[in-house]
Amino acid sequence: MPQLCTFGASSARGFGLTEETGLTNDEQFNLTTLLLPGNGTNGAQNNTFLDSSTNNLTVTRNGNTTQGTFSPFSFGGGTAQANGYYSGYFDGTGDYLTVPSNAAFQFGTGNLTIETWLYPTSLPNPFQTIIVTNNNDTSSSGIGIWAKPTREIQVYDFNTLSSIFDTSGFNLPLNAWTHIAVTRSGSTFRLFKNGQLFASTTNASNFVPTSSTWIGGDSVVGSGNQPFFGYISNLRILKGTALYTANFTVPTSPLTNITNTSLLTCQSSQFIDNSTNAFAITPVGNSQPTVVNPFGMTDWSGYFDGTGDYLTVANNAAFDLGSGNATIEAWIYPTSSGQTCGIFDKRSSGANYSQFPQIALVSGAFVAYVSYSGSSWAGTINGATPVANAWTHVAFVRSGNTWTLYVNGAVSGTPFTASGSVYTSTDSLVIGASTTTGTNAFAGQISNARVVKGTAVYTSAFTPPTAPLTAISGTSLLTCQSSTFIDNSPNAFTITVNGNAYTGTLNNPFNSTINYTTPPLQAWSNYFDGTGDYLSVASNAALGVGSGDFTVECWIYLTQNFDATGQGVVTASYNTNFAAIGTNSGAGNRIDFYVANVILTSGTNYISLNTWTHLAFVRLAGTTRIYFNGVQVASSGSLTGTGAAAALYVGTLSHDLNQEMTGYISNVRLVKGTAVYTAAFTPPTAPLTAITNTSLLTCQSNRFVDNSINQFAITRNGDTSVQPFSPFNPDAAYSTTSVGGSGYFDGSGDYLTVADNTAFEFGSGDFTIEGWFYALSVASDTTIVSKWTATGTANSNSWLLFVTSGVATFLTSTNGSAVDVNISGGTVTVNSWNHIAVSRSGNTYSLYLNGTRTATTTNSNSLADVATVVAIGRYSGGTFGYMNGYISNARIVKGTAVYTSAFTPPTAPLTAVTNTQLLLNYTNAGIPDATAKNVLETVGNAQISTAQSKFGGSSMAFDGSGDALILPASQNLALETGNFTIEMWVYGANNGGTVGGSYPRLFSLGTVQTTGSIESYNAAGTLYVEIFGSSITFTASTLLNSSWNHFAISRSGSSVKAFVNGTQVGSTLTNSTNLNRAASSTSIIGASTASTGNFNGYIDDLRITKGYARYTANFTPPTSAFPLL
Amino acid sequence: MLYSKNGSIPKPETDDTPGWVAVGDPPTPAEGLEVVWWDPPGWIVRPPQPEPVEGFVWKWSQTDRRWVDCELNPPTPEPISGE
Repeated sequence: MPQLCTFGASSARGFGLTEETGLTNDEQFNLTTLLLPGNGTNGAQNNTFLDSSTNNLTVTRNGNTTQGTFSPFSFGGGTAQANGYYSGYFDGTGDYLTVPSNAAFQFGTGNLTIETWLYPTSLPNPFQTIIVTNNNDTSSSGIGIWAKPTREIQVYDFNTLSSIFDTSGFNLPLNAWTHIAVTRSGSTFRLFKNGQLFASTTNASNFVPTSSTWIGGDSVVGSGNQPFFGYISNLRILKGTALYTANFTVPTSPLTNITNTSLLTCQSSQFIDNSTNAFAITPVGNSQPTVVNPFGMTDWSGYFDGTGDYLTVANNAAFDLGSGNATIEAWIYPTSSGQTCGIFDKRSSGANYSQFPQIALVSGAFVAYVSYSGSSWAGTINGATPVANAWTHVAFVRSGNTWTLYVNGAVSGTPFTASGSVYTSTDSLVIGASTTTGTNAFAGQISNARVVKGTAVYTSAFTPPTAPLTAISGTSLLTCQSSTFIDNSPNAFTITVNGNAYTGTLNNPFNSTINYTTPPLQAWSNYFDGTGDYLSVASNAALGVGSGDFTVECWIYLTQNFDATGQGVVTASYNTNFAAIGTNSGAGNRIDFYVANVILTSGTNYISLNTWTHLAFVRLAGTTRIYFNGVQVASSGSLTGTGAAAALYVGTLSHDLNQEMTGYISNVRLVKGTAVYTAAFTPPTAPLTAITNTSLLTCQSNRFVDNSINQFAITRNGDTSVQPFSPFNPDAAYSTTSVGGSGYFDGSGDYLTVADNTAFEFGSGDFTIEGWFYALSVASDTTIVSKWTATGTANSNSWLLFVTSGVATFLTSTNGSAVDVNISGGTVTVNSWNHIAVSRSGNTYSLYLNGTRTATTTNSNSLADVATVVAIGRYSGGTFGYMNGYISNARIVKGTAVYTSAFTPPTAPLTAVTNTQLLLNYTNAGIPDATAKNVLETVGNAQISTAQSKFGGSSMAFDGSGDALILPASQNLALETGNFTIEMWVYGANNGGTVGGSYPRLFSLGTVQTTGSIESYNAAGTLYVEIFGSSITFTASTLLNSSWNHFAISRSGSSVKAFVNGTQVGSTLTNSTNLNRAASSTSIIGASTASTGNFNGYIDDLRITKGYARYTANFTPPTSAFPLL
Repeated sequence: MLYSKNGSIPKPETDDTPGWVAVGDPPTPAEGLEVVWWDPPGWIVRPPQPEPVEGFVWKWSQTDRRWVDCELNPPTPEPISGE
């Protein structure tokens, strides 16, 4: 009988300690959809809006406008990418940059330096332009640098019309970063690759170009020919300085504006020149700044040529391993077989015994030794022979008194047991040779060499790490993993490089050769409601899995069973490419995976409803495997067909778009050419990144985008939404600076105003207006920021940034009445964050949507000076243009065009840059949601009170008359068909309030007394927990008795239980109703409606958990505040 | 004396953290008017909310100093079997 197995509850993170409370982190924090700690200032509400500019202007609230923590960076934005950690992306079709002709590029016969990092994705043409300083004008004597399909770098002298360098063997890698530098010192030209001198020659030409400089493309015939395909980062030109004349250490951080810098670009969120010259850079085509950059990577390797190349580290107590556990490991890539050489050693002479566990190759095979006495070996292990020209992981581990050698994770040779302390003395540690003088030098590459003192990292066979190593606790040394030889352990020991050992990414044991130094945390998902919702990507060869290895993966949180026909998860033509199709067999939800019309099914291995499950479909060397949460559930050697180009769909079937699934999907990744998982694995605990060969990476951002290098357009269908709900836990608790907040405008009477001020009179000067918005609808005009009352009304209009007919639009008026400038472009996406910006630079107006310039025009007129107020979320006057949704980080800058070309939208809350006149960060909520998923309204006198508190010195107070907290409709609060927990501390005053025409309610998720809602209320002394139509009841005074009591409701399966102070009250209710009402209607805390059924008392630490029953039996109530992450 | 911090509802005592500002006592409203805390500007006197109008909701516009009737767009209700 086949084993029935159901998968679910993918655990995304282990435990740790919070600095704030000392509590254990909440492993279910990612499932927590509302957390109100109730801490703050006495009397605080959500109604006062602050201007964070230095003007500190008064912001007036109108209607029910409120603010909270839901933002474009709701644990999904990450740390702001610092200047310098960017690159320019050139797609090979018409993308390039131009810089005006200037004497700064006329080197004459003097010294010069041109350097940059390159990440070519292909080299298909005879020439791929990196930079040409004379627009390829053969009559203008400049310099040209190209990458060629032979992987050479050609440097060309337009003075003599001959090559300076065009030498084979440079071997520029694809899909990896390489630093190149060209310098001239006197008459000596040098070409460096990753800090190593590759070639030198003599050239004394007089370079005096008189035409513009082009980057990423040149104009030998027309515009943008000979384009570059890939990324260029930190391009710097120095006039008068030969920065490098000998081998050097490649910079590990962005280049800076040093003396004689003529140009410094491709290193910011916009294409700007960070040199003192600040040249205007004109992007052509759709060249795009990206956060991809060459810094901070730890997948580099050390290159050793076998003749005098090795590393030494001065003796230190960190290498005295004593008698404790220890782990010494590395990846090695020997470039020849049969070597006898050292990998790890510690001795000055081959006649001595190593003062450290020794790993060596003897006649090509691993041998590991340990000496305790310094005069004999305590034990020796003869291990396997690594394959030449391939990566092999080796680890030598002491666990107790047993030493074990692991090769590629398998026990190799015979472990030995010996008690005692490892011999130690004062010689330096050696990597890549046997002695401190370089005896028995290794030929090949070594990557991620790590020494861990005190821990046996491996105690049985294991799968070698698939990502670079990190400095875990006890790490004494961690090297051969960065762009230079440094120690990434906390010790930061100095590494001495002997010979000409160098580092590179050409070859490494990982798949990660593209990098986000401070990775924007892509912890979002998309919600598909089962009715018309899906995403689509146009057909492209990159989406065809081909005939080789591949990986398709995602996380799924299914809220409704698949049907028997089959519904799409990720599909791209089951008969010509691949498709992952969910089907309900009657016993459970299985996944069928197709390649070229051949099926592999998960069979009786099912995925659970209402929990995150990681799915992976991997083909490795002809064998295709399905993994659920890293566990292999099916495999077959029959899926060997070739996957051809096809349109790809998420959430429905490619061959029947009406077969939509219901639930959430997060982090969809297609990697063509790589089997990311070769055996059982632990699912990733952080959002996926665009590793090498990634063809698609989506369903992970605050908007619908593909984060792979392909940047495919993602088309949203139906009302698919972006949701701050994911398998991942944040690394840090909410903060106003890293997450920020937003204002909520309900589309009916809500807006903010700021009085007329000269700060908003732009005249004919530069300015920038920008903001983020998450609109729930844009059926009618939707305003972001306005100084505009009504077109045609005299003396009332100056400028208006809004969305009309679904398109981003900006208007100005010169006479205060009629429209002057009218630019529009870019269709906004509802249920998704959009970044919108308009700027005026000189007479050029540019409108941007999500960093892309969607419209531009020129106009020299001066904007009207009118007395109209500035309004956010509505026209300044009348009743037009209400925003239905959220606005975040609205900023007005007068005197600066912050954006002059395409840019990467901000990855962190905006700040008051120079000339900022108004900045609304919406971070002054008195009652914020610590999950950063909700914005709630404090109605009446609902407020923070220090009069009563369970934890934190304050709580949320409700006076029994007109007080409530109201939450807009939210998918997060829809508990749907799954497990859940609702809990809070309650202090009921006066029995919790007066039982009048409507019963006092503690809460209602969804409109009270409607299908799909859950609520709790006091009906004449009886406390009800009601899932509409079915209730648990108990005596109200058990809970509402003028003292703090913990109240919890949880559903596990179909069993719903209520608990007071950890003891079940009332009967268990059997109910599996789909609690979806809160997705379409408001929810409320402390009342039935704003003015009826008002609770009297205090609530502290209210928490809602979706998909997880924290309590299934009597329990000890929490003894401290809930963790904030 | 009453104190407010970042627009919080005034209280007679602070919690001794920075940012509290003194505010005046609420004014005595004329007959038929009400006084509420609305920051900014602080205490305001306004007429009571007008009688409900089906399909609309009254919202206070502090910019215009008047109640405005705003269209109410509730979700389409499902039949209720009765409370």
